[in-house]
Amino acid sequence: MHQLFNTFPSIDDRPWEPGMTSLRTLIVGIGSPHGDDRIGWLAIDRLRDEVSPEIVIRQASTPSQLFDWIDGFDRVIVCDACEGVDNEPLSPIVHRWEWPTTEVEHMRSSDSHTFGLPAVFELAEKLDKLPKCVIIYGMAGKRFDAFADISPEVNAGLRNLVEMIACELNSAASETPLGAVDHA
Amino acid sequence: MSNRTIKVEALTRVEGEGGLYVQLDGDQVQDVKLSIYEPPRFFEAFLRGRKLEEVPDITARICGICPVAYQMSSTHALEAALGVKITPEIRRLRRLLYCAEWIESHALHMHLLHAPDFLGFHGVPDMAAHFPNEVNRGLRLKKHGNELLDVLGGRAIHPINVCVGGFYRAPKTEELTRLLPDFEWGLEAAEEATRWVATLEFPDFNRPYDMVALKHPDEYAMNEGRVASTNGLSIDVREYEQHFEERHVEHSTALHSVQQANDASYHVGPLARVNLNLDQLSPRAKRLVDEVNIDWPCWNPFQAIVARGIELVHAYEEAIEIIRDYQQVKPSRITYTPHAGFGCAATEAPRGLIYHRYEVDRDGKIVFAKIVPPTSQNQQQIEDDLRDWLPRIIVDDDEQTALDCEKLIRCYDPCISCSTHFLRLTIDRGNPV
Repeated sequence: MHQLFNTFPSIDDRPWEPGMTSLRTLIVGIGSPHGDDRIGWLAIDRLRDEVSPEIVIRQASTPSQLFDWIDGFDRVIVCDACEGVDNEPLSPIVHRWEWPTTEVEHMRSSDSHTFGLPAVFELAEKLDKLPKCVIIYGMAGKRFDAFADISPEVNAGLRNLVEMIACELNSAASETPLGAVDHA
Repeated sequence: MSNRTIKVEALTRVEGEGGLYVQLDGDQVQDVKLSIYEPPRFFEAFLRGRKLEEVPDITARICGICPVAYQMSSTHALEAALGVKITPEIRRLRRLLYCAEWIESHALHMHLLHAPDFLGFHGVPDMAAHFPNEVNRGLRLKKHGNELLDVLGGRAIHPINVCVGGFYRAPKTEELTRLLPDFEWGLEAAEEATRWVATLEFPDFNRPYDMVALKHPDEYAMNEGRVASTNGLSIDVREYEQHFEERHVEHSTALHSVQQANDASYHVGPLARVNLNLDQLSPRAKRLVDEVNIDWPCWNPFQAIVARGIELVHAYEEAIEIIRDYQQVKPSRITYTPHAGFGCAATEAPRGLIYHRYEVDRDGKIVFAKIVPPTSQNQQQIEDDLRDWLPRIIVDDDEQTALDCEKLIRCYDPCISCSTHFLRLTIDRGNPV
């Protein structure tokens, strides 16, 4: 019962102010309390103590929530469960993509009336709202039963996911990472 | 004459996962099956043995778009079971919570999900290039709803501030009043949006519905009232299960609701609410009812988008009124002693009436839970609509036929909610037999 153990509030909203690192960064973990679908939420929980205070971190249940938050950011990092990318689901791999990429079709696409991540990014682009740097971290889940615990395999992989995001933030605090590729 | 099968594995721009199976014999519709995955069934079992205090938070997780309706219906039902009487101030704050959910959900559906169907776009990203102002307006209105949910519910999605007896914490006055400028803009924008959708071209498709919604003598029914229908039904919520029955069907994990008396389908949602409660709308919403070129009561499901707009205006107007009058509610919740009992309640989710019933043991643990969401109530109606709709739109191109079926289904804004599944749209065009 992730929700009951992590009560209110779930949002860490620390707005950017002058003097902070030049890339105004938003990190969003998308998830639900159902099995490995909570990957994004757990990643955010673990990142709270890892990231510098000027970085805004949030948990979301639907990709469409990004529209409420992305204004004014230079970089958005989204982490979420994905499917159909791993041939070896027994050892979940952390995937990293930069938008635009067709690989994002593996990410959540059904929530919020099928307003999936690709549609959110496409629409944000059309409306000139998309931050100049969009990075997506995905990890394949194994089970998604209602209120199930996270699987041991995915739980083990979470550490790698968090380390990769923290490393990206720490190593390029003021630079846009260029030429990055899917780490899978 | 050949047989043809059209199979839409998953429906686009419908929350969750659903599929449509249509079997034709020439131009004759042989079979229509709306197959959906619906999670409340799992939640009913999951709730058994849980403490009643956990129920509002758990039921809020059933749906990411209408958590308030699930949460508040369970809360009201448990309060009925325990005999808890809330104060008028708490009740008013709860109506504000409903306004927030209606604003978020209606703005999203009108602008970003349903409007593309009428304007000839495959989806809102395509529409945005031609209608950026309308799309931006929809996003801004949706954000208002989420911000209000954030204040009242503790967060925008799956609110956690609601409890049996009231709220864990009542917002401070300034937390709400700071929203007023945005909401005043939103009210104007909602009116503009409603006028806009009223000008869309609607198919001539009037249906002989029996529409069902809550009806309250003193207010536009959101979270309380008698269950009423356009055919003249008016019953206490406690009689709901004597008139409506959920039935298993082989092709869907969701139950289909019918009226017990005649096995007939019925229609719930904003169109039903507006038709049944015109006189209870807020002044500006009522003016719009007269202004849009629709004869009320309206029987065309495609014009539900206008009904959503009217309710959007109502929700803004009522929210503004509540916020302007608001003083921090004290106490924020009524205390109670758990004891054995059973109770039921019905409220109005954005997409229609929702019914909950619970039995609690003397230790305050859930013995039984029954949740009837709006989508299961509309499912049989949608299938009936499709049987009438298909002969009008059927073409040789299966993909086009499937898209036209989806447009009708989306009128109901079905919440086939499943926050754990991924939608894949595949169309099996099938081969003529």
